Amino acid sequence: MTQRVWLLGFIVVLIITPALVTGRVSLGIFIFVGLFSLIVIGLTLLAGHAGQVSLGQAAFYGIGAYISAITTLRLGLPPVLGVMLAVTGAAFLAYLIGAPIFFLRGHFLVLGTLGLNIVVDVVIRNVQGLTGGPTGLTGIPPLSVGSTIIAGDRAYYYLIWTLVLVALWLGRNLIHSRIGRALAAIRASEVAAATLGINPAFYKARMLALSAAFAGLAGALYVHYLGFVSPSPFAFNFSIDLLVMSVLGGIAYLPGAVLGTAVLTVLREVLRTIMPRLLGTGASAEYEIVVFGLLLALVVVLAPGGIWHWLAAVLRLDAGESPAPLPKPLSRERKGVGEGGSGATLLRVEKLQKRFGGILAVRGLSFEVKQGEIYAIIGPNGAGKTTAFNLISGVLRPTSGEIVLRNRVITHLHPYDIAGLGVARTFQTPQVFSDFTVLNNVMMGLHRSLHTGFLGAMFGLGRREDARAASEAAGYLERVGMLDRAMDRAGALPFGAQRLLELSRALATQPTLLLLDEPASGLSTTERRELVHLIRQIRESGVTVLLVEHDVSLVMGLADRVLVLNYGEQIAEGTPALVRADPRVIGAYLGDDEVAS
Amino acid sequence: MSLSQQIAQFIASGIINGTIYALLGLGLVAIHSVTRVVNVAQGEFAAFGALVAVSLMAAGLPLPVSLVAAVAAAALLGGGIHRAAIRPVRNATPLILLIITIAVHLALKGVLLLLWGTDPYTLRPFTVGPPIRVLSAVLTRQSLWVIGVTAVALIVLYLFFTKTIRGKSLRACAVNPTAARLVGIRVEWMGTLAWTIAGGLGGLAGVLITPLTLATYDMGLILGLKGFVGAVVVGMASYPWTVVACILFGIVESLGTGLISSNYRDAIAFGALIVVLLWRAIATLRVGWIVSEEVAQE
Repeated sequence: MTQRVWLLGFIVVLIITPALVTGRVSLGIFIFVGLFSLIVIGLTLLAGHAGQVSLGQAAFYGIGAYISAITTLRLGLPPVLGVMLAVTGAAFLAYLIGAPIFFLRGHFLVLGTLGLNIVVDVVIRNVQGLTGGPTGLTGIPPLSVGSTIIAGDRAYYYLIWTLVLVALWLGRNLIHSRIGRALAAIRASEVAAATLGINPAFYKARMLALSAAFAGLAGALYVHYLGFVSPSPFAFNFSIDLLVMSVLGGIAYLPGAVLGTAVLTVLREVLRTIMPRLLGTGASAEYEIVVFGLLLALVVVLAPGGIWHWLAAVLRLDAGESPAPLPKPLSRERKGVGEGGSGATLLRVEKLQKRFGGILAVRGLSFEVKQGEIYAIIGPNGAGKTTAFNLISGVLRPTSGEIVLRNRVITHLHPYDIAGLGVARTFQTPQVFSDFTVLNNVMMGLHRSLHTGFLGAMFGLGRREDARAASEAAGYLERVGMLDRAMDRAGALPFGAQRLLELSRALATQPTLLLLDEPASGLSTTERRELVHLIRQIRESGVTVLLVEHDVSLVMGLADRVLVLNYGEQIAEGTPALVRADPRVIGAYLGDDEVAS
Repeated sequence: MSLSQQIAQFIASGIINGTIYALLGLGLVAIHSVTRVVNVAQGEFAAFGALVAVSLMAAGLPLPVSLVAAVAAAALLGGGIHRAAIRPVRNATPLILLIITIAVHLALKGVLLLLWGTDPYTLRPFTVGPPIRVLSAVLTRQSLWVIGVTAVALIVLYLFFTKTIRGKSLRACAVNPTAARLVGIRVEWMGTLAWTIAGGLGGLAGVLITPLTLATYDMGLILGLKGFVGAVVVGMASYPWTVVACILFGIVESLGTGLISSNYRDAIAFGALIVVLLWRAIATLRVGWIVSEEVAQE
């Protein structure tokens, strides 16, 4: 409720502002705050939600500006078409750069975009035939729709601020959608997200393209508003200003983007009047960077939430939100056991090797898992069990050997592709998304079975699908007896409950093969008994289970077949009874000396 | 001058520039491997070292004293930044640490501007004398100083990393911080040490290059970025290969600039950066999604 009131108040202020200010300069500032807000909204979506910083937003802004200027001025295209070309051109270039760079996990985008900004700046200044060089281009036509020409400060003021509100709405929808949840999951744990079938690079690259599209739009509007363009506003320094705006407002909050832009733009005007008086005329504009740098450092270290975080608390903006109701659980029919039926080979691992530096963690591992069985790998610490799991789920790539799922070689597939083929896994230390609710964690398991794309999500089209997914997720929680905790924060759950949650999230992906990495470690005796029961149930429902375990007695009572590893080598395989009698197994567990004596 | 002579000259100056980039690239690798931070402010160490040396000279100190003091000051600055800005928030996300180094870059650049203004400064060459001919290229004496001093620095660094317990501890932190902590290495101190080394190497780059070009408050960013190109080619991991990559990059940049147009110098350099990043990404796709075991168990 309060949120709506404040939003309405803000819109009213926006509407009446032009009537209150007089003189061209002052309305001009409001127009620029709006233009920059568009860019910063894109940057906030990228930094706050995809977790990646770009120092090339000024370049995308410039690319948008020059595309629209050149296509309308030199090719005579209608300005509206020029704007569209600017938006798609900026987005396309960003995607071309982002899609590969995001495969480098870490923060390489910031240097790539920084380099891009310098390249774009140099090119604009030097390709004089096209861009007019340092002096730029003049006589760019104003925007027009049919025969109506959009000209004058007021027209652009209303146009730009309408677009800012639209951008906020689109961004908000996106954050609260399937896509937004995937991005949050990636920020929490890329590995866990990838094993649920989410390709982190795919989502990050699209977010970069979206942020570049907003910047390109701002650039195009800028040239049609001023009728003139020159290279200086698009230099690298402006990219830094944009980042400061985003961080200052609050990097995780979309309204913060507008707030940060407004505060910094006003601050800059103030500095430009004060600085020359304090420090003499000289290079007073250059001194801004001192203030901006210190401001950025102070905000990041002392108040990482930015101004909006503080403002939202003061105005109690989140007080109006009531907690979402618990959805009605819905259980989905499982697909059949799959082609081949029970007894056919589901997973075949052949001569698998993994070397870390000088250590051979897995040496020559070969085994087959049959459809519908519970297959266990046991062995003492350091036997290479977890590494084998990481290899099968694609988290690590083997040094040599082959992994075949049904008849398909999956050795060189990425974890998200392997997840898409029906392989789900849990981790030795549960990898739940701790800031999500329990229900949303399970919904991440359903991610691949939902279909809302980027555009659909931006226009809020995925809500019905989401409601259904929430019900399904509740169904999975009911199966493991955790429905009453659906709305709790996952990170607040005790260890055993986190394991169960991770398991139901894995089940929600509708796997054909479920990999459980030490599912019983850290559980109490009662919890272990329940776990055994649950794993049997999972097998009954047609899922093949491959588990790695420490607890020998648990495995012996549960598994159909057991493989024993020691120092990366397999020493025995067969039914629990057979393995238990094997002298080499006894040797590995009790020490060779005792066998000898 | 014939074309082959020109090319020899371009290659020679490329090697000199590449040597400077290598000093910055090594600092970036040291910081990244120990503290997992991409340090956007690396080039500021060079600007700081150069300007301090200029001021000490102007104050009447002899050249060798000024140079050593300037490099030491840059090293202290590096360690100080780690203690003041990185260590207090070491549990922050990589995103926050990255933004902090951007802030440090801006703040340092600002401080340099306040102290030294916008004027370019110069430093006299370490030794005077006519240029020297090597094959068909002509080299200034300062160029030989650049290569000679860098070579000594590399040998010292090599001995430090392979022969001393501190150097080995530093490498251990880079490979596996958790294991390093378990065997009693103070990982936080190693972080400060890495930043100190990076600061010193940056300062060294600054004092070596100033007699050839000029020192200004804003010379850092471009230099630091060029060091980054070489470091990222080899995956921010190997010290010796970073040096090789930086020198090769210096040659490519110099040839590109000489044969195409000097207006495009930075465009060629940073175009190369983007190409290198894309090439690394594709290489990563081939070797696997996650390369280290540590990350797989995160």
